[in-house]
Amino acid sequence: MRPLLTALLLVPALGFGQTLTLTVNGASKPNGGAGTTSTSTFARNATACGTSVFGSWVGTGLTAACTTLQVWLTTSTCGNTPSTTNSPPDVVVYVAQVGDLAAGKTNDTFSFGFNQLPGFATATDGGTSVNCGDVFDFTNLLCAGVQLRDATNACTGTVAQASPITMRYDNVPPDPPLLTVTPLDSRLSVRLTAAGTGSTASDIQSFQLQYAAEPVDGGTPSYSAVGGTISVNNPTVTIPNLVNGENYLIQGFSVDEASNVSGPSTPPAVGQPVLTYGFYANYLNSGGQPAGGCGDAAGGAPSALAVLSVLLLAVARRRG
Amino acid sequence: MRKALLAAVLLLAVPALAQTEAKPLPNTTILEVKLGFYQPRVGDSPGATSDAYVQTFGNSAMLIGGVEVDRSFWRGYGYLGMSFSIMYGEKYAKALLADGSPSGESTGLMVLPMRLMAVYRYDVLANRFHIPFVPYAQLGFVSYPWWTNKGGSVEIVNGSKGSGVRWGWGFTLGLALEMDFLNPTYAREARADAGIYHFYLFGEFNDDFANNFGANGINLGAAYFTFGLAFEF
Repeated sequence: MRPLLTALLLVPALGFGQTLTLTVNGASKPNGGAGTTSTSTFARNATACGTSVFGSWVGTGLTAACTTLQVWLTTSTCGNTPSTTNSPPDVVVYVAQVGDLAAGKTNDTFSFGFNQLPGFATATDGGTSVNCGDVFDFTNLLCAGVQLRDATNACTGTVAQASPITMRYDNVPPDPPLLTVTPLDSRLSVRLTAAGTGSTASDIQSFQLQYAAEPVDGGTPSYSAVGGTISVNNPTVTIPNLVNGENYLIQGFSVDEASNVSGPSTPPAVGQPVLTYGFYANYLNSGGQPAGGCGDAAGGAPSALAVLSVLLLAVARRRG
Repeated sequence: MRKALLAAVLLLAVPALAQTEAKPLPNTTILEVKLGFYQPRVGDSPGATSDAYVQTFGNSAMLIGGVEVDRSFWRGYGYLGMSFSIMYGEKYAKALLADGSPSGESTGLMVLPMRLMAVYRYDVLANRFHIPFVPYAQLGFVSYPWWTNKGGSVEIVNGSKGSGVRWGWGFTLGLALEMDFLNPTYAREARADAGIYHFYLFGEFNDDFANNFGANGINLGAAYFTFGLAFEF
């Protein structure tokens, strides 16, 4: 009876008690992203060729391991262990020994060269090999797994697997954004929209914008950047301090998750700020006088509040 | 008309005769929360040949809301006291192009009406005869801080900033419905436990003359209705 009870208690412990998590350090990114970590996607362009990717794993409940814990790269799906039949073959980048896991090892770090991604080894498009630096876009997975013993101590229990991290080599610049220009008074409002199809549009992370006064003599426009890094979630920028009635040329750039920058939107959008009449301008144009009471002071509201407060206090004191 | 007038006189007279028998009432505070629709008489501003409010926002009033505090200082026959209220309202529309068509940017008018009033509430009917209506009137000073907006900042036209304060006077005529009769038990408990004497629903007509007593500048006075909820404690 007692062994049965022990087995019943042990099975759920093995089935649900272990975790395995993979993390890739964003500091591996050669052109930014320092200090950030990712457990879902790691995308880089050709600037990552020749650099190393640093990562780590953290596990719990792995003392029942009966195989090595492996971290590997694959062009296919992860499976329980690295595949020897995939083409190109999976690349094992880290191994933790059974004895270390049994002794309580719960985490470790690893690294591998970015150009070890198996997608570089052999063609992913039917025969042409891909080298790091080519204008190409592919996705591999970083996987981790370890086999655990079951309740009878057989090496057929649960396989602890980490959620894979998408390792993406993307050296294809995205399409430039579409621009929608709205003329305002001495300003232009520009809304940027990701263009293109598939991954070239869906992985755009931000935009950049520049503008220039349209040269009257057909010369080369002198562009100035505006708006800094423009989030795709807040893609409207106002260009201030323009001259009503003059034409301005506007170009946008898309930046994808691998830091590829598109070419400029061509031809540039043209906008012309225009004089607009708000309520106050309409009031003055109707013949109304500009005096606003206690002057046109912006501090009118606080002043009025102060006066009324004094009046209220005076009333209260008289009553007291 | 004559019958109505006679009825009103009798209604006022009966409690007057009975007042010597009534207990003196404590001074109380009334807190109100109210909403209304306000459309300023901008077209009546000195020099204005058209109504810039209608031109910009259409013939559509702005929603205003706020709070009012009344405090009595005499309860001999009714409720005589002072009140202070502060409300806020704003209205937005598209700024206009030279041809009068809407542009791509917004313009707005914001007002912060404040009123310091003497208030008289004829609550004799409710207190002595359990007729749950309290007519009231207010008269006093008003202050209207205001500012405009175009494209996200205060509108400035030829160096003149579209903001300021308008002063004036105003009055209110209102009618409150004392809610105690709906649930007398709860009303008694509210009074005993929380010190709340009465709950009211009310509607009132206001007319403010916020034009710096006829001086130059924008006229933000308006006749408008407000409705709300009040409790007396």
